[in-house]
Parts: sequence; C-alpha cells; structure tokens
Amino acid sequence: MKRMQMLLLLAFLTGAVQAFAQPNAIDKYFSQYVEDSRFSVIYISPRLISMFKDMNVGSMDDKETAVLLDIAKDLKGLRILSTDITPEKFYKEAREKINTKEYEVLMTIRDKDGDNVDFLIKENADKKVEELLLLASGDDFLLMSFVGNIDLDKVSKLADEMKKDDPEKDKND
Amino acid sequence: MDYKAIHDLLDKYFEGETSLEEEKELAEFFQQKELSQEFQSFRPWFDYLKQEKSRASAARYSNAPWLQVQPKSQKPYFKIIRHLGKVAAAMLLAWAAFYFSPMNNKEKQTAAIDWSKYEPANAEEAFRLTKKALLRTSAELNRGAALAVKEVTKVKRK
Repeated sequence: MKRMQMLLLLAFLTGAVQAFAQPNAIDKYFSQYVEDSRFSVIYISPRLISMFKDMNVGSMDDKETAVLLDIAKDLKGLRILSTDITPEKFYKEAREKINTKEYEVLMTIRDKDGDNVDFLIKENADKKVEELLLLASGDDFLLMSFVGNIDLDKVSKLADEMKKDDPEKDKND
Repeated sequence: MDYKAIHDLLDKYFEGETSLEEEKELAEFFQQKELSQEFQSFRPWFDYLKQEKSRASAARYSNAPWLQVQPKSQKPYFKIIRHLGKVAAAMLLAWAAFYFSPMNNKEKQTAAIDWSKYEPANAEEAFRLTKKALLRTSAELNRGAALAVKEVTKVKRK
C-alpha cells in the first residue's frame, strides 16, 4: 500500500514537471536576451489581452478593431524582443538556437539588403498552431513570439484591412 | 565369510558403479573390528568416509549458517531507520526524475523569467503594441506571399 502511494506521488511529480514546460521559445532559447540591457522587451499577458474587448476603442475604425480582436481572442501571450545593436549577429545566433525539430520553418524571406524574415511555427498534436515566431533582421533585430492558436489567414488579411483605412498605419516601427 | 562378494563389491565400488545400498553394505563390512589382512589397506578410507559423513550431518543440523542468524530485532528505533531509508530512496528518485527530465536542460537552468516587469502599464498601451506587432507580422506575411507570387510568375514566364 505504501509503495503504491509512493508510485502515485512519483507519477504526480513527473507530471507536474512536464506541465511546467511552457510552450514559449523565448523562455526556452532566449532568456539571456531578456536579461540583456541592449534589448527592449515587451510582454503582453493573457490578462491584458482579455481586457482588449472591454476597452473603449471607439476612436478606431470598427472593422479593423473587430479583426484585431478576433485574432487576439486566440492569443495567449505576446513577447517581443528587439534591439538595433548588431542585428545581423543576433539574427544569425537566433537562427542557430531554435530547434527546427520543434519549430517548423513556415517562411523565410532573404533580401539583398539584409532584410531577412523568418516565420516559424510550433504545432500541437492536433495540428493546431501553438506558437508563431517571427524573426527579423534589418535595421533592427526583432523576435516576436505569439503563443496561442494563431490564424495566419486572418493575420495576413489584417494588413489589407488597415491599408484601406489608413495607409500611415502600415508603416513598421 | 564370503570374501568373494566383498571383492566383487570393492571392484565395482572403485569402478564407481555401486548402488547406494551396496556402498552401505561395504561401509558396514569395514566397520567390523576384526578385519582380514587383505582388507586392512581399505580400512582408513572407509573410516574417513564415516567420519566425514557424521561431521557433515552434525554441521547440517546444529551448525548451519541459517541457524546462526539472530531473529530480527524489532526495536522501535530500528524500524524508524528503515522507514527513513525508504523515504530517502523515494526522495532520491524524485530528485533524479526532476534532474533528468527534458525541461531541466541547459537552457532552462537559468532562473525563470519574470515577465510581469515587461508588461505595458495599461490595456490601451498593450492593445497598441499588439496591434503593431500583428501589423508587422501581417505585412511580413504579405511580403513573403508577394515575393513568392513574383517568383512563381517569373518561373512561369520562362
């Protein structure tokens, strides 16, 4: 009987350890960047995302807000790391760090001007997107991690939606 | 006495073909005090066997190793030590399970990141940043798609 209890406890412990493993590439591969003062870091928590829909965003066009909220409702966290110091070096480093067995390369854009972008996705067992990673270099090094079931179709339509309303908003930071 | 039979038995014995009963017969024969001269030379051998046999059986029943084992002490402190041992073993197992689990690899050994300090102060700011991030993502996705379309049409034209 005692032995049984011990086994159960052990099974529980290992289960708990597994549960702690968060599906988030930045925690996994880039924790030292977060601590690095050369990087600016932004984190949007699920709590903040859930507040979006209760927000008064009347000043914006209703349709684009609706599209944004539609995407955001599947979002469970957004992390952004960026720096303008040696973007090329960090980009190369980041490419090497990410385990491509875990993260599938969705799209890679190589530009003559060194304006490189990579999209990487992690899927769960049901082939749903668990995390979307965007890796970009150019004037800045940018690393974005969207955790949640991101609908890429909706995201790609967002830019068109915005362009129709306000061309200014299309500009990148 | 029928020495012929004894001779035959001895021959058989040294051939290693005697049965247990025949060997017993031989042993009994060599027990007698008055032994013919021709058998005297075999006597020490059978004496030795008898001696060894009695010693072995004596050892088996009075001096056996398992009889030397003391009954298990049931003193309370002894019990506690045994239980502590079990607990220690379980803890070692749990520690090992944690230590060797996949998440506890080199990347994970740095302390968990406190993300809360990177959160924007309010939801409006968060919304603005999320929007910006999604827009950038959207723009890059479209750029990739546009490039792909351009490349494909280039290939088609060739």
